[in-house]
Amino acid sequence: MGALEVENLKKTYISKGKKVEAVKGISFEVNEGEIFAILGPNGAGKTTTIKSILRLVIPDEGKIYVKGFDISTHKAKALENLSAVLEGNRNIHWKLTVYENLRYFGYIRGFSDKFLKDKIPEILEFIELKDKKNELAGKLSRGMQQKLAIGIALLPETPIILLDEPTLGLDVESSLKIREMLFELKNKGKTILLSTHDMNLVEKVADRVLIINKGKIIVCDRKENLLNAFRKKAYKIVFEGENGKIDLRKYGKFYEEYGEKILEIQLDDISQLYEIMEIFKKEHIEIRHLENVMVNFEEVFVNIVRGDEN
Amino acid sequence: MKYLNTFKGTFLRVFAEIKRYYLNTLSSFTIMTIIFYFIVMGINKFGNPATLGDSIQGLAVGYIVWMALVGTMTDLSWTIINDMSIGLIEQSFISPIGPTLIYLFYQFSNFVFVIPLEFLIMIIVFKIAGLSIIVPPIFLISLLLLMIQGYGIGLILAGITLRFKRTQSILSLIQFAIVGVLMGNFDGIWKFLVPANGFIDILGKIINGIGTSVYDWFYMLTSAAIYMIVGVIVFDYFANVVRKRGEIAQY
Repeated sequence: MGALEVENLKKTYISKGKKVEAVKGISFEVNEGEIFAILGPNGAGKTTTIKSILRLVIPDEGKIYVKGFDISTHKAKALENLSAVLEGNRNIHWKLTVYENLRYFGYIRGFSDKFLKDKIPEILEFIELKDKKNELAGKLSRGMQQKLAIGIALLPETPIILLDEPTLGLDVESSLKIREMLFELKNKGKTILLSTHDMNLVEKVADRVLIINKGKIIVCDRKENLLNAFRKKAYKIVFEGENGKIDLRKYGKFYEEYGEKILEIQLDDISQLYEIMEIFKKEHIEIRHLENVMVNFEEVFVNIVRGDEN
Repeated sequence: MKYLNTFKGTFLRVFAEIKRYYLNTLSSFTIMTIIFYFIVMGINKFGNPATLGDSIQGLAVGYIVWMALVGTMTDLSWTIINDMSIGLIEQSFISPIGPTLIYLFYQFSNFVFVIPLEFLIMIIVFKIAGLSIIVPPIFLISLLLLMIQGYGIGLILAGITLRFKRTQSILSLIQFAIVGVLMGNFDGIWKFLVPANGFIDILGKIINGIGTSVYDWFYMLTSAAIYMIVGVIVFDYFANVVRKRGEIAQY
């Protein structure tokens, strides 16, 4: 049994008199202790999926089990195992201080004075806002507000944490800090469900990735498998001298950079690489460097989504 | 125990908000008092108290009832509007305690802070009206029941706000609509259904030293309880409607 199970989730909204199918029968499972990323272009159905898991949206069909509890019939039990940082600034009370925020959100989940007294200093330490505990949340920087939102989500010590766009609008340093926090949480055994557009974050932290488009699953696999699927077919050839009569553009992306000529190729089959090598040999083109291009996750994502669109 | 903790959370939130924005609280208090002072001055100068009540005494009681209702009926809706716009509302929905209980506790927390202020304004209003500021305890109990009724209506309005979002105009209109309701005199089932209708009569009787009957208490208790129960049901209903429509966060 996974920490989180989503079965045949369907949701249709009525917008301006028209039916909009946001999610069309999505099923997936998130394992204990993993970082699971949901990716997709805008309007793919990511937020509806996350909100359905949190029961902020009631789906038309499908089942969601949180630690075995069906959220439609055992909502309170399921929610006791979940906490979330929602997109943007939708997680903190701007008119309360950092400390008051943690206390308020702890209390409204029913936690006792004793629990909060012990837990809040620990959270403040973890989110590095100990010195800011008496400052109004509204006066903190965007990065600090996001740390506070994460702190609020950590307070109830739930085994599963949902993060919707945790690095959106953050500077590089704050994004790195959030990334570090995610690793620490994973090491503590937390299960994290992440929805993001930040491919760098996915590449660095995710164990498995679910890509959805137009409300349907395109792929759900381990991150490494997705990267490998694209990595082995991309090459970069750096060479010198004239390329003669051959029009290299028909083989891939050809450009010049710092006096070097570069050809980037995407292959369906490795034998195509040998064919190009033969042409280079025939034309006496001196290859200086050949490398297997390390595709980044952004390229993987774009390729998968484009493939689905086509 | 967890419900007590939730109440503590909402209580501390209300306290922090009032403390931080004390000037706003203080100015509301001053405006409420000054308005009544000018009404009494106007009546004394131009004489015709019949337009707003039988006497200054009736006016003072009516004013206290109006003030108690305006605050209790609309306050939660303003909080919901605020929570929707700054994004706090989803966290209440994610809590295992649930939004209905959290906002009900928020109402009660507000109640605790509003009561002393309400009584203080009442003393000043009675002083201006030339009434005795020593009121019988049953007057205060009746006023409390009226406020509970107001909070029940407040939950209904908050549910409507949750569903239809921009209800500011309705909330502003309500404070004038209440004046109309208070000036009417309904009987039979309408006495129970029209908010505050029977309360004015009973509070007037208490001030005049007539006292209350068993029927008066039955009216006040059932009317307050009915509105509170209906308020909880309606709020819960709209909380589910917005979940189904996926519109909790939209504002």
